[in-house]
Amino acid sequence: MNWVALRRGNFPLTRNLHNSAISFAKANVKKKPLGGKTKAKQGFKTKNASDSKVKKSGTTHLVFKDAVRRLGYEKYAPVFTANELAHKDLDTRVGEIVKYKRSTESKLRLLGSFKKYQHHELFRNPVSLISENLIQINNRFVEKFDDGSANNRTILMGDYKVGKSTLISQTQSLVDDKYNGEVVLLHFDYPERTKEGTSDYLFNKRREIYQQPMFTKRWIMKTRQANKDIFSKMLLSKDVTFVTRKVEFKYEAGKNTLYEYLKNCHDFGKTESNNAFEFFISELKHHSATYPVLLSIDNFNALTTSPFTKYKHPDFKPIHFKEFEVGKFFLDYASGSENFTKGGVLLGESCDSGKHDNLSIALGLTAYDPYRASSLDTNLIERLMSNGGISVFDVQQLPKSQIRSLCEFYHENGVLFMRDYIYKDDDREVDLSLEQIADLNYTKSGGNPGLLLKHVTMSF
Amino acid sequence: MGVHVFGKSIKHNSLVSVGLAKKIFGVGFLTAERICAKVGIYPQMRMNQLTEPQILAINKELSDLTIEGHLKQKINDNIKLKRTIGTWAGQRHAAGLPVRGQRTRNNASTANRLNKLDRHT
Repeated sequence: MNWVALRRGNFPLTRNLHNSAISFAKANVKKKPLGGKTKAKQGFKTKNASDSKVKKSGTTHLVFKDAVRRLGYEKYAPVFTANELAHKDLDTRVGEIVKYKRSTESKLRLLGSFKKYQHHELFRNPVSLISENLIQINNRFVEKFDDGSANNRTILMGDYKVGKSTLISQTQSLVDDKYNGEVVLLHFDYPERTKEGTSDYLFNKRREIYQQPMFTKRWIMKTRQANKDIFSKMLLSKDVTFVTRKVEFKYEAGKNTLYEYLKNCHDFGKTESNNAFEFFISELKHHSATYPVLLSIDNFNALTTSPFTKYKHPDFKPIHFKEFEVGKFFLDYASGSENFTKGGVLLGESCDSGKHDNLSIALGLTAYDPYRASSLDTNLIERLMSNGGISVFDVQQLPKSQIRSLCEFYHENGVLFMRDYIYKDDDREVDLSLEQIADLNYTKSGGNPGLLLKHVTMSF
Repeated sequence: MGVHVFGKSIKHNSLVSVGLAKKIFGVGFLTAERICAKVGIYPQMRMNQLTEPQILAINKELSDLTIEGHLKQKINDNIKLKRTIGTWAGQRHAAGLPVRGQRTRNNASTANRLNKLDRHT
């Protein structure tokens, strides 16, 4: 109580009942207890009670980085006009910013070629730049499709965010355009899934191999959707019989298509031994002379860095990735022991998966050290070195001219973020020309497209 | 919701290996993972994804181990044996004091709480 105020005669104003209407009196609001449990109200909710609640627009439970990707911000991006990425006259279009063909883009989306954290939400459609890397991969890989996949194996290596995964999707697009969509695209965007223990597994005694029904089923589903047109043209080379939902299907060679088989055969996801995946690959192999196959495996070094999976044998020994059906498929085609008559195997390295000498020795980048043999998987190295080995493609940083064209494009699309001058008290006005901005960004990113995009978009 | 394995209700959304290790006396993480490997349960499987045959297989594996009541009885018997033959460890158990030479000037509260002749009642 303020005793000084009381002594001066400043008494607190109190409301007298005789000169104020009762209707003006404040309603007696029951105070809620500060702590402890409140008594729950029993009974049904009235209609009015639910109406009075203001429903807030739901966003997402995801963290910011994932939310911007999932909430479809690309819908609000300005529409841009750019030419489509095409195989024709590629050499003359270096430095041009292009978008993917509509049909190819939908295929690549289904296959998972556009990865998260690549900031595709900034633009209406995924964009790409025709760089020297693309020209080189076209000459060294796409043009060699007729040699067969065993003789056409390339691994993309390079610095963090230099564009290895983007180059894979660009290559897929080029191949798709070169063969007018009559090419089979097989893509594994995250092969770590085969070894991280998220799929069920069972042992196929006949083939002496482990199968992963959940993983295989999901991969087959998206591959089937992406390659629908081409699979619909592929007639089966062998008769096949299977049972789905108590209905027996008898597909005859030369009559039914591979798409029909993939659509109706649910053996891929069955928790019992089957040879559906083997049959599918054998069919692709059979047709590969007519319809080339591009097998692309991103993050391939994740498999070679730690080849043992989190799965265990019944005797509690870890299972090697090559003992799985899909892992064996990776290794067979990456090592060239299996071959598509026309096609290629494109592998990608991930800088997040750690480095190990297994891969670098297999590629001939590091000398084999016999004193470290115990930490190496010599069998895996030998397999990868066999049949002429895998050729290394070193993905290069972009030159300044291409960084400039990227900055110009970002500026046109409202993506380019320019910071205030560092010394805010300074009256100097900063008016940078595009040339200066390009210089600045080239210096900061060192020609790395991923770092450039991060730098111009992120405020940190 | 719980999934019942070996007479214990295990939280439905826990990993199978974690759920077994947490709920069943005498089963640790390593033993739980061994059981999962033997039965063919994948590492990231949750309790609610278990099928009836898999639960039966886990129960069968668990029944071959000395766990729960049998293990508790075994521990009690061992302590009692030590007491009856008059060993130092038996005396220390009876006195509720540390058994393995720890100091008792301070603390020793864990021993006071746990070291009894009937440790698992």
